[in-house]
Amino acid sequence: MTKNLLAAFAFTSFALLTGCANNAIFELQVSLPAVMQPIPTAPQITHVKMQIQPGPSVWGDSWAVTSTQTVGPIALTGVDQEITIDVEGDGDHLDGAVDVRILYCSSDDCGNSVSERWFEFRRPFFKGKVTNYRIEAALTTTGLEVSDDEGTEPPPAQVIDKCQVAGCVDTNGEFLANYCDNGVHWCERE
Amino acid sequence: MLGKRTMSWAVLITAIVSACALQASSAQAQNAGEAPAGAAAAPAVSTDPNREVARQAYIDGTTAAEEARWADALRLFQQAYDLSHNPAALFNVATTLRALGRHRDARDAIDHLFRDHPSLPEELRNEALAMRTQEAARVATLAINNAPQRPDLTVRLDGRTLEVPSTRPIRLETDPGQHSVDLSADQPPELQAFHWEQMLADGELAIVNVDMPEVDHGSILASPWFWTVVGVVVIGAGVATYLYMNDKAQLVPGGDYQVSFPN
Repeated sequence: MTKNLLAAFAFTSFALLTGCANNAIFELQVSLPAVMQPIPTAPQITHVKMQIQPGPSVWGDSWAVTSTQTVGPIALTGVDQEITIDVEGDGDHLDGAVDVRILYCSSDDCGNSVSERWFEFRRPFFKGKVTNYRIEAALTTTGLEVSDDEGTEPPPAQVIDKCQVAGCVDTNGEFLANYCDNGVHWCERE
Repeated sequence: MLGKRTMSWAVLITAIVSACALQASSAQAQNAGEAPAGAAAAPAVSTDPNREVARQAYIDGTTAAEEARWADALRLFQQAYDLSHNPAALFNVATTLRALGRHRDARDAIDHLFRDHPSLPEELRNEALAMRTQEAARVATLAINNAPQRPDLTVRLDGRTLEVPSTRPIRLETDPGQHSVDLSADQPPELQAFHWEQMLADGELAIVNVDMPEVDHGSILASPWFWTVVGVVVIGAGVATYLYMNDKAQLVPGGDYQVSFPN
């Protein structure tokens, strides 16, 4: 009798204590291009740097705020490569956006970007869940045409809605266009 | 009832004493003037001081019996027998024990009489035999089953410690009435004490089934301190587990690079 009570207490305690993660992971899979010089007038792209911070951000020169986390510069190689960045959210960040700035650079310190791409994930975190998104970060001529070096503003941020963030449904590794059902994300259903 | 018994008892004493007194002091002339009223055949006067004391004790015992002062009578008859070795005195001891309800002792006194005085007068022998049969039939017996065979076993009958026999079941003889039996064994492993109590009728055979399980001193489950410690440990473990699991339950970033937003 006593042993059963103790066992029940231990099991209940374990059940209550586990599975109560307060954080969330947003996994970014970024496909990086090989070293390249997309157009003759542009310098060769040798490095990529990524800045990540809670959104929403004011895109442009005011991007560099204190909460920015930096990945890289990552040296590009002769072949395409793929990296994974796990962004951990907690507390107030769970309901917020995540902004990602990818800088394509011609130097190893990435002091001046040749081109940039901006992404705003409106709702990538779900408490206790792991979500992910794949960014094809191949440099495009469009990016170069609008780079600072060309004297124009970067293209507007690519907004990623929560329904485009993968997670909480088994897709056999395939990425779907929509992870919501009637506007409710699968991670919000569990 | 005692009054009737006293009368017949006194008559018997008179007869017995008449027979035995002569045997006890054949060299002495009987002094009828010293006998108690109604007991003309008191033991004869002797020059032996012990015998004179015995004779007086006998006379006083007879008086006490006639007055139903049985405890005094028993003491005086016993004194008379011890000093004179007169079988009449021993017979009167048995008779007094019967009057006191001590049937087992009365039977034993008769046995003593037969053993130590094989040449009793016929009348006394017949009376003694009849009494023995009656008294033996009234002795109650306790058969104590399942008494543990342990050297530290203590058996008490009505609070009186008995020598424990090696045979089982233990058989105890006693007189009719209310009786109690207590068994205990205090050496490790200690046994739970056993108590039995019952009213016994004349000649009844009572079966006493003893149950003496081991005392569970070693069971820590009976200790409130144990449960206090268990409670403290469980609560402490719960808190520690909560803290540990709360930390472990957090999702851990993997990947090639990790970014964490400070909260």
